[in-house]
Amino acid sequence: MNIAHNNTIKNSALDELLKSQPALWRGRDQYNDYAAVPTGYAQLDKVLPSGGWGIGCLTELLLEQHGIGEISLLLPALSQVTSENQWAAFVNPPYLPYAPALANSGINLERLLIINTDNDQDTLWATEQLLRAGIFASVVAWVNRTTAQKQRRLQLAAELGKTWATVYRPANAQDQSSPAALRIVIGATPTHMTLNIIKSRGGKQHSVYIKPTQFDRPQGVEWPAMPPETDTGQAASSIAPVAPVAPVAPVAPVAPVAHSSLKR
Amino acid sequence: MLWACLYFPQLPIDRQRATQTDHTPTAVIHQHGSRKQIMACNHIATELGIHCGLTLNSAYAIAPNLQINEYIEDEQKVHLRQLALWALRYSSWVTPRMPASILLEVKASLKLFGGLDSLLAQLHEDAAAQGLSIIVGVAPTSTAASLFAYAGIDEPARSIKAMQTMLNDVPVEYLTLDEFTQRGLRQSGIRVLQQLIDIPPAALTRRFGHQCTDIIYKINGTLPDPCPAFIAPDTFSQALDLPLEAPDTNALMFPLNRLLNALGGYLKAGDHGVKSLDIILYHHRCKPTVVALRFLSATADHTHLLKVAKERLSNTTLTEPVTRVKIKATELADIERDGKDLFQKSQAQPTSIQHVFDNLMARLGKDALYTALPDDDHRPEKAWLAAMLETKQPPSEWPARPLWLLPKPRPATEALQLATHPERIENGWWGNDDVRRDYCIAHNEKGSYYWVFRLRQQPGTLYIHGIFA
Repeated sequence: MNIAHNNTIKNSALDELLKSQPALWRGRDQYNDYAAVPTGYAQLDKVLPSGGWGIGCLTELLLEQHGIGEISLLLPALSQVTSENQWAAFVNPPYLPYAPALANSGINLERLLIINTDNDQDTLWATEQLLRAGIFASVVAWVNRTTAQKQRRLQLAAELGKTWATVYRPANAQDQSSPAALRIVIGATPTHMTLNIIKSRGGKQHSVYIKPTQFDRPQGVEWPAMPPETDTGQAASSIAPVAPVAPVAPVAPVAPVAHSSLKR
Repeated sequence: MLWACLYFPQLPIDRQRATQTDHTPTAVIHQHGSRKQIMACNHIATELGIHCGLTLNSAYAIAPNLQINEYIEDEQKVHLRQLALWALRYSSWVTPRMPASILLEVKASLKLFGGLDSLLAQLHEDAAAQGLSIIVGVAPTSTAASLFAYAGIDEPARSIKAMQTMLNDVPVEYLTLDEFTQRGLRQSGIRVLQQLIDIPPAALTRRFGHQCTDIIYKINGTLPDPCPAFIAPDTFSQALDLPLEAPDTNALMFPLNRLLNALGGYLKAGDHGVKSLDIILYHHRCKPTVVALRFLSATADHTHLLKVAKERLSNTTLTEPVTRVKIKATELADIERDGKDLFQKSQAQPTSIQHVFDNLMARLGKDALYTALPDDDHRPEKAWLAAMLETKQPPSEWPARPLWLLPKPRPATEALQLATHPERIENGWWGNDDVRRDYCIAHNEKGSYYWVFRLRQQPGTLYIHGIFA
């Protein structure tokens, strides 16, 4: 962390020096003034060239597995967008977007359109239509198979409609080339989520780590407590075949109670 | 008053053309005395030298592969009626006149369209989009306007004075007079209108009867030429027979465009929008196919209608070739207009949200789009409902819930580590879907978090019901 911090200080000093030379042209500058929606995660905002999810850019999120906080990553930005009464859309979500959880995270559900499609072709078509329309502030799509050519259409449509476009793809697509402005591989270790920025127009390759505690705020609820080791009793140990590992979620012990008292 | 006469010289043939890429000479014939004569022909036949008034035998001598269709007066009436509906978008006073012209009173429309020139330009453009050949004659009297149109004079006569000078050179053969009078005029050496006007009216009446004098008075406006206004019916249902069977839906776009054009004019005239529309495709043997278009809000925009219809039809598979297309507006409604800011700077208006929804629904189906709302129920499956653009206050805050819910819980296949105390959800004992479950958050070795439950009846199995994405 310290080294990274020093690096940024050095970089900004270097930036100042380079900016004082009017004869110098730097390719990276041309992408710096894109408008962006802040991601809500400070360490991610810092490394993205426009300081957030780029508006008019296609972002590709390459997913290794489900259930690691991949949607929570977008929640702060989505709730910001929808609470300003702008439209957002989910195209072809892999499971049912669960309204109570979305409501918890502060998303204005009336402004979140969910579209189910039968195949990737329809998904790409619908995504392009939404991006082109220029009414949607954010469009998130889940695509299994696509090509660089089709992704290019989406990138152009996002530019045309000035929309923040996000596409989730399986992680094995990271070897294929793609015209997306930002490509991030999302993985997980037992203690945090890892974001590997493998392509960033106007930026650099980076790795960002997000701890699960940081998801508390976007999800709108505190992560419930781990049962203390002694308290497991017949509940946990009899089912879970693996040995208990160190608690991952923040520990704030709560007595075992019925669901209603879990509300904050 | 200022009248515009829209004359469609090729109407029977224009209406029969199924595709733009037609390579056979085609003509429409009608019985003239004892002979069959060419009435209209397409451009390929014209290039070969076939023209109106040619007898059928001579035409066959020029082009043995000539395709002919009989002129059917009733069909022409239907075509003209559709065009009259279409023309209602330009003027509220529309008079269709058999066989092939429509009169419009345009003086009242000039302000709306920004002058006569832009109105005429719009007219020509729209007619060209439908593949219609059109001649527009404009004059202060309806008879003169028709005369100009029949004579092929496109130059509009804006005042009585301009009209009178322009009339002088019009050949008399374009006047709507009977055969006998026409022959009399020819034999007297009267070729152009100027000569006819110069004859004293009393002498003219004595020689050719009052028919000739009347028409001159009508041209000048001295004698009224009544034009009863065409009144659009209360419901819209129009059909078009296809000259050739359409094997796929692509071939339907051309006739459909025409019908939708008529619908557009009809809606404009009544200040309506259409909310639901049926496209009925008739087949030779099977039952007709009905393609229903539904719109979120009433629309009168012809291009939008066409776009949605196109999207919907491209997803429709035909069991048999189509012989006849009909459109029927099943639900009309007033258009909701949002007030425009007078001082708003003109900028590219983004497509409206309704247009996007209609477009998506046309291809993906009506149920593919929804917004999710939380509902008042503790059972996870019933704690949300799919709604479309409905407003409902979220009931309350929920404890930790997964962002993804599996449509059906599935038994866990891998080793899971429970991370929380169980949360008991017990509800619905009075009905069929009694839920008695203990929910926990669990994760696997790789760090994926799931929402799992055990049934109270059989605590041995762990089911995954949600994913903390």
